[in-house]
Amino acid sequence: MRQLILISGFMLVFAPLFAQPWTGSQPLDIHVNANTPAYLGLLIQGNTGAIGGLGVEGNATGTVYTLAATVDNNMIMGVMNSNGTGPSALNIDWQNHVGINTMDTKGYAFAVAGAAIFTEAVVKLQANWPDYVFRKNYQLPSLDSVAAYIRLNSHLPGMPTSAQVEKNGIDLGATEAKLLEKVEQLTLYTIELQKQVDSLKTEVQRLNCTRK
Amino acid sequence: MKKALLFTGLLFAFYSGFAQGQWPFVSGNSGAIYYNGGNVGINLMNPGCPLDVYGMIHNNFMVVDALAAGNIGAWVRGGASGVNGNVVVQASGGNAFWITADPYNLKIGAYGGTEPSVGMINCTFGNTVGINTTNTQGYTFAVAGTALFTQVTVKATSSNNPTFTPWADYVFKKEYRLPSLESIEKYIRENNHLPGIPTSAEVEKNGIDLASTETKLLEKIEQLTLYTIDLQKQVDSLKAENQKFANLQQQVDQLKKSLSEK
Repeated sequence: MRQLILISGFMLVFAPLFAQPWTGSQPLDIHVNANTPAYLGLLIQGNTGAIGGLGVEGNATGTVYTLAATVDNNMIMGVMNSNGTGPSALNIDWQNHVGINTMDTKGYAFAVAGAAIFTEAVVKLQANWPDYVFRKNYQLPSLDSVAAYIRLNSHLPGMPTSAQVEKNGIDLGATEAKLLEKVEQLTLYTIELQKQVDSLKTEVQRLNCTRK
Repeated sequence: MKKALLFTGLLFAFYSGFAQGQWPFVSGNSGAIYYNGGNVGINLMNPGCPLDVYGMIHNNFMVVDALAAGNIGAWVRGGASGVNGNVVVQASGGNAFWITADPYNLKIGAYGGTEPSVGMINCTFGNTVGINTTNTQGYTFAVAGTALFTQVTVKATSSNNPTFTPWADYVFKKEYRLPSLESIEKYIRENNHLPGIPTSAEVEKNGIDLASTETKLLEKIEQLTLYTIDLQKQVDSLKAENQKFANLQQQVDQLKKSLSEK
């Protein structure tokens, strides 16, 4: 009994030294204090065949959200399903790929199975943005060669084909760069055409004048 | 021996006391420990599980073993109506990051001293994910803010994305009917946008569907390429015709000259 009292006293005196004070305003129910850098605060393990998970629930609906590790070593987050295998809303596989609504990211770092909306999305290309079309040393292909290419291949030179797009999807950044290249080339063709039309006009003008 | 007897007696007294029901065995300022039907309650007279604590538990390391498939290892829930479930993770001296469940969302990663209303990553009740928003507006994934990628691929088929039209190489097929430039001019005059391209108002309302838009832009570029090739042909034939006229004019001039000389 004395020992118990001694231990309780010891705990009362020293507990504040171990406990890192919680600076938030809300009270806590369980406080796990990791003491050294290698420590996990809280470890939740699944036994063989069982997922290890943390259920978090707001009281009003009884919907339990889980952060769980599945038996195939992936992490799933979202509304708990009965077997805990996923895919859930947010999935992180054991190779650190993130999948939204899918566990299979097909090797991509991030995959969304479904529609996605952004207020702004930027693709930072490593290849050159195609302003090289306007450089002096750029060789604009002749319209005849472009026409011949289209006749032969039924797609624009440098652009992926329908079959390639069906297989690989549309690479947004790369495609945008190629579309810009085409627009820049068309701009050059149009400027060149306007010049030819202008010189034709003056020539017609000249012919009309001499005829009078 | 006396001591041992006393100890045994005490143990027995404790044991029988436990077996009988609630029996305060350690009293303190904050309550008592109760033993009831195999369960221990701390600060709680009717423990509902092997260890039932009313109040805070503080320890240095905690392991929870989920024993069977479908078991939840640890469950943090709002204990009263309108109360959310929270888990906070915090490095020594670092920010407190929250994992919060309100009735409709799992909100992860926002930090601060009080429960955040929106997480940085939010898993919604409909199994959609919102970055910096819980309102995914019917999309599987929504980002309220900017996003950066080194590479993005959209793999769309008409079955999983009804607004997606096939890649635009049909423009170069023999059976494709290129609209006349006159009809395009008329369309632009009447509608102030290119045929087949969404209007400013539509984009403002629905956003830019990247895959569909790139496909439509490619269609326009392919059409423009055909117009340009055709224009060059017209200019070439005009040039030839003009040359013919110039030659005729020259002959006329020569004839005039020789006539006047006679």
